[in-house]
Amino acid sequence: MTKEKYMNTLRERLYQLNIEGRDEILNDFETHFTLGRQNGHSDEELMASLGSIEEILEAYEGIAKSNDETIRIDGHDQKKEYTNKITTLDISARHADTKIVTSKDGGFHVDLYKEGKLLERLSHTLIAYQEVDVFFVKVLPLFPHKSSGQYDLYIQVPNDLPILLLNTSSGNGTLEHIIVNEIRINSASGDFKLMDIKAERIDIEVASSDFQIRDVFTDMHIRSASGDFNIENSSGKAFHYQSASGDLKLVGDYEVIHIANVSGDINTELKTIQQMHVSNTSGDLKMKIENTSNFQITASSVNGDCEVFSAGEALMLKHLGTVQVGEPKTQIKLGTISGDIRLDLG
Amino acid sequence: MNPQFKKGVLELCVLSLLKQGDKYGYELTEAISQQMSIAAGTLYLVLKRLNDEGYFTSYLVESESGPARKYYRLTEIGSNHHEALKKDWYAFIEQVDHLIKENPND
Repeated sequence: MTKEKYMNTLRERLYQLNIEGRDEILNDFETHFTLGRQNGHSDEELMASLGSIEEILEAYEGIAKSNDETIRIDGHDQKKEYTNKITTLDISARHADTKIVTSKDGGFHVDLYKEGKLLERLSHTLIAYQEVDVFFVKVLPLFPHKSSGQYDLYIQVPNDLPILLLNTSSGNGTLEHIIVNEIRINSASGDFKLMDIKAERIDIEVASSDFQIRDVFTDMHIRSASGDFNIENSSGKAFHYQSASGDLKLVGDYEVIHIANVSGDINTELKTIQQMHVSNTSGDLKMKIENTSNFQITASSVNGDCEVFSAGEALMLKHLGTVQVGEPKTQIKLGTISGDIRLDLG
Repeated sequence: MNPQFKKGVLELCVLSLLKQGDKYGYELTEAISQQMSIAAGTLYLVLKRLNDEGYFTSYLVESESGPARKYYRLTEIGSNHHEALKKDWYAFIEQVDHLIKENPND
């Protein structure tokens, strides 16, 4: 075979297989011949050193496949263009800690750090790819046992992302300054910080995770086993909270609040409220509501104390009772078995 | 040498050579060919992929005696990737070594 035939065949096959960057590749091969000839090699020797075209293409297909699995959607990466807009970001972080912020350029950026050092595409540890309209980010173990070390994921998202799913086992999560329609967090034991978040709805389903939530404007639905929740300056329409033994501190403003707890303590400070149901088994309930006029409060405690004050004046001091003032615009139901209840209005 | 071994380590070899200093494509194929026989064609593809992934930057150096040479330089990310691969490699060798030495016939 002559060099011309070799290069023509290669060129044809690269075009046939629609391989990206083919001009660059062909250029490298041309240069190889030129420099090789300068070094005194014959064309036959050079073609032998390059390898058979089939062998080369086979290797390329292997590389192209692994490229697809490890693509990074990046404001700078113009080579891959995705026709579907991303509606969902699905993150499986396992033991890696994840930090999610808003990107400055409106694109998606995923960076993986190991022990503080940036590793961009250690392809058998981080997989990031788009399938239709979902962008998946998965952190896999490098080896299926201990040696892995601490991985950290740093993800930047556009400020109009519809859905964000974050799933970790022990990895912690920090979400800061983002605007997302729906956020769903699932975790076994990771701890989370949510700061400055605008959303329609946040769903949290965790086992022993602790949460620090500040400056969030969204509806919240929380199911937790034993984690503690500290929520400040938050507001939305609905707040639903279910927990076994975690403590809850909630400072904010909601229209509807439903809280079901077993043994944790509940401490809420609210501006206004339209409807609130709280039931606790053995934990204490302490509530403060700034503005309530025209309300109906039903409180019951089997073994504990039950105190309702309005502007410092005691309205009710007994185990079971209903207090109504004016037209009941606000409905508050409080119930506990053996904990104490204290509600302060105004 | 078993071709399967070669595929896995080509990346590590390229990164190690670039760690020693910037090199151009042909130079790299020559250097690796001295240690093992490889198809230089596949090497150019590996170089392109690693370059695309941000492990190198490249620059052209004009040459009076021939075509401009494209030099590759390792980036910080490439360097970190190299460290990680090296660690993997040594761990891998140790593990395999262990299994081989268990054989009483050695």
